[in-house]
Amino acid sequence: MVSQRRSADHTEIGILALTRRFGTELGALALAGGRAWIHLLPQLLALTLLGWSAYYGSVLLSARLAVWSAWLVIVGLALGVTARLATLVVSLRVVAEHLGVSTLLRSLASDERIDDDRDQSLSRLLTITMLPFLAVYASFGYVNSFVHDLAMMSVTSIGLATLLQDLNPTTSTVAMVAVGVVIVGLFLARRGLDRLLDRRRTVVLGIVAVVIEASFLLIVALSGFRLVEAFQLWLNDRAVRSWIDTAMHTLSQLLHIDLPVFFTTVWEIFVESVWPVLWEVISQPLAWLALTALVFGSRVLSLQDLWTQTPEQQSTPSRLAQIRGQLAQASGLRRAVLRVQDAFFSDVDDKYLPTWWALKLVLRAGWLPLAAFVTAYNLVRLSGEWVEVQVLRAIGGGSFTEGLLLAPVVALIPDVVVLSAQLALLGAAFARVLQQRERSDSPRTAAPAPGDRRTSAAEVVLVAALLAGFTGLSLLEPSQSAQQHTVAVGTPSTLDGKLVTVHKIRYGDSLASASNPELGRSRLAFVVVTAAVYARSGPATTVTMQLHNGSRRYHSGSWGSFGLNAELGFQQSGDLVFEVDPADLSSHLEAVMTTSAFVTGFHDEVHIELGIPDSAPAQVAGQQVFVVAAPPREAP
Amino acid sequence: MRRWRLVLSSLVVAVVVAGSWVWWVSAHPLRPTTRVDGGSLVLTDGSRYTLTSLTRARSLIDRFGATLTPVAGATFVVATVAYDATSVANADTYSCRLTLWSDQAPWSAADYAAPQPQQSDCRAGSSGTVVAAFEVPQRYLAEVSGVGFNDATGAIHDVVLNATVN
Repeated sequence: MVSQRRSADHTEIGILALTRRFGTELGALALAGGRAWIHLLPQLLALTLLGWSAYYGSVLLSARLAVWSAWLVIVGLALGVTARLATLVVSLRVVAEHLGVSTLLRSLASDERIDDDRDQSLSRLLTITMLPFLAVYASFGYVNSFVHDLAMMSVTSIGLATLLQDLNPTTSTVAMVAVGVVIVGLFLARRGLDRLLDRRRTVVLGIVAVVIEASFLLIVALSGFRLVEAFQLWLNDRAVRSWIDTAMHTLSQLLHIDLPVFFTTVWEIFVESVWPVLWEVISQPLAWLALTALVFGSRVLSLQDLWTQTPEQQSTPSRLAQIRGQLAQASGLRRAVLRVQDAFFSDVDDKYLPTWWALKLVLRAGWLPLAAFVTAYNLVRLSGEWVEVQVLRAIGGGSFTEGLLLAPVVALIPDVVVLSAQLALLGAAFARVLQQRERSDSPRTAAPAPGDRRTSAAEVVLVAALLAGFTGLSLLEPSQSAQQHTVAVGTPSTLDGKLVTVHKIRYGDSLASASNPELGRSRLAFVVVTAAVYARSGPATTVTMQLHNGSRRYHSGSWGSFGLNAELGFQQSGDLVFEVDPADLSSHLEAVMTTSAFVTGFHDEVHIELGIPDSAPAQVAGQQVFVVAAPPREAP
Repeated sequence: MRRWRLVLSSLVVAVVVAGSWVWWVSAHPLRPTTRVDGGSLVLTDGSRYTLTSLTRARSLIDRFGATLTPVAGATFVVATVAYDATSVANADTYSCRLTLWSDQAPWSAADYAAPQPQQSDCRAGSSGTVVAAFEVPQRYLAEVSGVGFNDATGAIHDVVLNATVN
């Protein structure tokens, strides 16, 4: 008992000490990053502004090219992605030089250091590091943002459907062959350029290789997913699908568990809570830190290998080297197979291995500095998103055209201001990673003390607390509905340039109208909401309403209006009728109004607190509600 | 000095890109229209239209003798159009659905059957006079800027004949 209490005391002391160390690490990182940001503010803002210009310039160019051919969009976007990444690489270089990273690298290993020509010129640096950047950039959804913005621009020129249709390989066999040929062609072009680059490495060829790689990724994003979708639809029509469903149903009955509901629930928890934490909150900053390391080369790991290994212990030749050795002696079909393997593994060498080595370098820094960096990075990101949401709420929504006009202006917040701060933080974090390596490489570093089980227990507790904190961070993400107004009954609010008002609420178990005294009867409860929409400006759009109570949603039924639509200058009111569970008739029941426009510039929502008393369910029985589905419009 | 040159260059590039963006969005509205002056137009299916008059009315009498009055705060705008659809062969797809336009948005025609011999709809292969009535809020009357025609076979479907209410 005494030893257990003593162990708990030691764990507590360990937790406090670790927490203090974590706080110190976080503070030092924030201070270093903040100082670098302020000192380099003009350069960082200028470079990120160039990146912003490259992005929106390429969307504009692609929208123009799309009028001639959807395929030209690929080139436009690829140029934009390349230019934007170039500004990121240059910015990281500027920050790292300011923080003395080059000096740190040189001090890590003096005699065995292999001179890397990426330090000699910026253009050389871009050529080497662009491909891994592109791979990670695409995996975090930035390419999808390009595609989304282009689609919005294309709505007003060639039409969204036209753009996607032209790049949809499943519309016909010809389209499928065409997309396949283009994808294979780009892959082969990239391989061909690799060979040219091996013989004569120039900046222009390097950039062209990157643009081709970007084109390859974009065409896969724009049209490749359709193939997967078509396969899934094909699979759903196959007998094997019904076998799986039958097996699941049988298993559910045997286990007395509703397996589909179970898997759905588990999947929802994973998608809504676990995955956002793992991917966006933790993986993304670490991946960017690894890429920052890549700016100065995965050569650092080679230095470590050289430091600890004798020449006899050098690792066996890489898989790629083995294949190339075999290729020299092979012929016929084996030669063709080896060529394919060569192409695949050289791709791995170019894009993924350097990133993997850089990630390993970063992860060796230890969990405490990394946790501090991940926390700081996400705090900066969330702060930027919060500011962006406040700006959008101040704007208050508007038409699709107004949304499209304002999108680049609002994007200055995350793409220039926040990004410049994140770049400064990345440089500071990488410098600390190297400092950590310098300390751990030192022969004077003491070996871990015995009896450190209490430190491990403290680490586990702190890691668990940090993970809970990160989960909380991911849940703090600002709502997609940036323009979310909450008003009371009788208070007008703007929605997509219109003025909407909920006038009154009634509830009962039966309905009547002027033409039908027995309009409806329910064992549940009817809620009738009288609302109006006034179109002060812009074309008519249909405003719809849902009732929300927690995660439960109710749509309006056919007893009243499905939605409200008013032409310019007119006010249209109507009764929207909902059939709800009496248990949901409470003060938590709220109405949510949105527009049903196919494309919108803003995520605009109006929430109306209905003010229904918790005693309402007792008042439903025997209560008839009079409905006026479509009263005449007014001209205020 | 070098960094301020970088800042200036990036600002210049950003202004150019932003200006181009604004120009593109303004030039490509969500519902594009073609505006025509001169009182008459020809659509891609060969049908011709001439705006005879665009007047306001406090009430209307339809061909059944019923009196239509606008809602409080609104007035009627009546468009009289001479049409020639003799060269239109496909009667199934043809219609001269008229709309009334401001610079912001259109108004659709009211449910009004004009007294004969005026028509409320056009017929393919024929010519005549079609009358459409629009209910317009009083405070937006000055914003009326034209009568719209549906060019179903054209690249831009909404063709608007510029005009103001007499």
